[in-house]
Amino acid sequence: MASDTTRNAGDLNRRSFFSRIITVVHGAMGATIGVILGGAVLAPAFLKKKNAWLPAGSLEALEENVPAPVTLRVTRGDGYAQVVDRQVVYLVKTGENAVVALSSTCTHLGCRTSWDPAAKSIKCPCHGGVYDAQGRVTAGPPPAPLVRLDTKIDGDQVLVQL
Amino acid sequence: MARLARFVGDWLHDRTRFRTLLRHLLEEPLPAGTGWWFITGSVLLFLLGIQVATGIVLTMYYVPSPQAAYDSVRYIMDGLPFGRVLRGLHVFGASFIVIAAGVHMVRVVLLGSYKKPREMTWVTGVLLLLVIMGFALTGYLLPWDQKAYWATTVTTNIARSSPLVGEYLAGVMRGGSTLGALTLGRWYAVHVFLLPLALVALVLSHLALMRLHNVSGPITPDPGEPRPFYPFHVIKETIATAVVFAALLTLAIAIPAPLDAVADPSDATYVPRPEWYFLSLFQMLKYFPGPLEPVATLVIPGLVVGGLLLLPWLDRTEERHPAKRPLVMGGFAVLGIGIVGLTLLGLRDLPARVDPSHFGPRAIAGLALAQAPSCLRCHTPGGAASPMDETRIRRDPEWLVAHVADPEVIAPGLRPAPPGGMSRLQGRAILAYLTTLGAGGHPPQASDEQQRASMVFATRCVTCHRIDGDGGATGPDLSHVGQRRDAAWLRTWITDPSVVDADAEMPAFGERLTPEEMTAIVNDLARRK
Repeated sequence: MASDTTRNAGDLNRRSFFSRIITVVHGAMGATIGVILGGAVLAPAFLKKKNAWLPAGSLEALEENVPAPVTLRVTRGDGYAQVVDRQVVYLVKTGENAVVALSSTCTHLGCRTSWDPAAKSIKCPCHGGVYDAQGRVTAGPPPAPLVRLDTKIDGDQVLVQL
Repeated sequence: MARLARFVGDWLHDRTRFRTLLRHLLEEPLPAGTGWWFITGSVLLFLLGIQVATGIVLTMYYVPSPQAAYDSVRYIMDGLPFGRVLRGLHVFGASFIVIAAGVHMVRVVLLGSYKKPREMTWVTGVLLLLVIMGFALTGYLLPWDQKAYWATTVTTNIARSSPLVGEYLAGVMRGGSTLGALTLGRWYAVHVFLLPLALVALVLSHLALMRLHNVSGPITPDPGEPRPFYPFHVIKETIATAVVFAALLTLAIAIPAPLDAVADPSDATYVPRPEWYFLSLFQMLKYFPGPLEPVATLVIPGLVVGGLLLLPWLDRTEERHPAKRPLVMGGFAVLGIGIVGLTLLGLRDLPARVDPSHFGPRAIAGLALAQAPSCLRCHTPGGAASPMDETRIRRDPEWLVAHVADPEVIAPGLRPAPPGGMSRLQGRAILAYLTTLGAGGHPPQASDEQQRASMVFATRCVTCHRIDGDGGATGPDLSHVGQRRDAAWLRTWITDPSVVDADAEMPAFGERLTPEEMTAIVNDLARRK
C-alpha cells in the first residue's frame, strides 16, 4: 500500500482532484455511449408509425347503415423488412356524404368480427360479442365499441387512415 | 442519500468484500516514473469495449442472410434512431483499434517491455493482434455489399492458393464451393461468438499477466516512491481515452460509415479493394505473381507472425534501451517501413470510388419516369405493389427491365398491361433510380431542364457515352466535357457532327431532339466541368 505517499497532504489534495476529474470524464463518456446504445435499443419501441390515407372504395356503392367489409393492403416497415398487412375495415354509410370506418377487430380479445346481414349486427365468433351497424356494443363481453378510423371523402372515393 | 449509499455499500461489502477487490485492482503501486508511454493499452482496451457494446446492439438489428443482410444494415444506417452513429462507432472503431494496437506494440517494443519475465504477456498480445485482424476480416463481409462480397472472394481465393491444403481451406472458409449464405453464416458466427470468446480469454490473460509482473516502467528505474495506479495513472489514461473517444465520436457523427451497393455476384466490373489495414498484404500480392504467390500470402506473413511470437526469445539480453538494441529496432523499422510503404502504394492504386447513392443523369431520368401514371397505378400506398420509393430491388436487372417494359410480366394473364410500356433504356433508367435509392441516395430537386437533359442522356447518349462511370464506352466520357467544349460547340456537334468532322462516327441528333431537349442537354453538358 502506498500509504506513505497518500499521507502527504498535497498528494491527498491531488488525489481527490484527480478522482473527481476521472469520475466526471468517465461519467460523461458513459452517458454519451449510453444515450447512443440505449437510444438505438429503445427508440424503435416508441417510434410512432406514419399513418397513410388508403383508398377504401367508392361512396356510391355503399348502402346506408350496412357495414361493407373492405380489405385494405397496408405496407408497413418492420425493421429492415417490409410487411404487407391485410386489414379488414367496415365502411358504413351514415348519411349523405357521411361515412364511418370501423376496425373489424373485436375490442374484447382481438378476434376478427363479421357482419351478419340476417341479424343486422356485427358478431364476434370468439366470445359472442355483438355490435350494431355503427359498432356500438349490443351484447356480450366487449368493453368498448369497435374502433373508429379517420375517414375523408375525395370525390366518390372514401379514404381511410391506417 | 449519501447515508443510504454508504449503508448499502457497507451491507454489500460485509457480504461480498467487494471493496477489497476494488482496492486490490485500483491501488496497485506502479513503478515511479510510469508516464504517458503506459496509457496505450488502456486506450486499446477502451476501444475494444466500445466494439463489444456497439456490436451487441448491432446484432439486434443485423440479419446474417444474403437476402436480408444488406437491407438490415441499410435500415441501421437510415431507419434506426442513433443507428448511423452506432455503426459509425463500430466501423471506424475497428480502424482505431488497428492503429491503437500498432501504437501499443511499438511502445512495448521501443521500451523492451516484452523481456523476461513478461514473455507470455507479449505472446498473448501478439495473439490478440491476430484476433483483432480476424475480427476485421470477418466483420467486413457482414454488410453483404459489393466491397464485402468481392473482397471476401479475394480473401478466400488467397487461401485457395496456399499449397496442398488450399482447396480444402477455401472450401471450409466458404462452407462450399461458392461464396453465399453458408459463408455469411459461418463468418457471422466466428465474428460474434468465436472471436469474442477468444478476445475475452486473451484480454483477461493479458491483464492478469500484466498485474502479475506489474508494468515494466521507465527504462532507467526512477528512484522515487511507487505510486498507486488510481488515481495517479488512471488520470492520464482517462484523458487519453477521452481524447480518442472524442475523435472517434466526431468521425462517427460527421461521416456515414461506408456502405456500397448491395453485393452483385454477376457484376464483373467491380474492382475489389480491402480495408486499408489489409492493403499492404493486398499490395504485396502484386509483386509475387503466379507460382510465387504463396511467398506473399503465407511465407512473409508467416515469418512476421512467427518472428513476433518468438521476439522475447530472439532478443534475450536484459538491455531495454532502444539505442542499444540495434537489431530489434532495425527489424521493426524494416517491418514498419514495409507496411507503411506497401499501404501507400496500395492507396495510390485505389480506383476512384463511385458513390452508389449519387443521383446521376440516369437515376434522375428514372425518378421522372417512375412518376408515370402507369407505374403509380399499382405502386401506390394500399395498391397492388409497394410505392416506388419504398420498393426494394431483389430481382436481377433483366427481370426489372422486362417488368417496366411490360408490368404484366409479374402476373401474366391476371390483369391487362397498363398502356405505355417502357423502352429498354427507360427501364434501365428506372433501375438506376431504384438502385441509387436502395444504396441510400436521396432524390435531388431537379429542375425541368435538368430532368429533360437527364432524360435525353438516359435514352440516347448513354448507349455510347458515360457520365460518372455510368454508360457506354464507345464514345468519349462526358463527365467533364464542359472543360473541353463550350455550349455553342456542343450544340453544333450534337446537331450534326459531320459539319465539324466529316469522319465523325456519332449520328446527327438535330432532327431527333426537340429544341427544348437540345438546349437542355447542351447546357447540362457545358456545365460538367
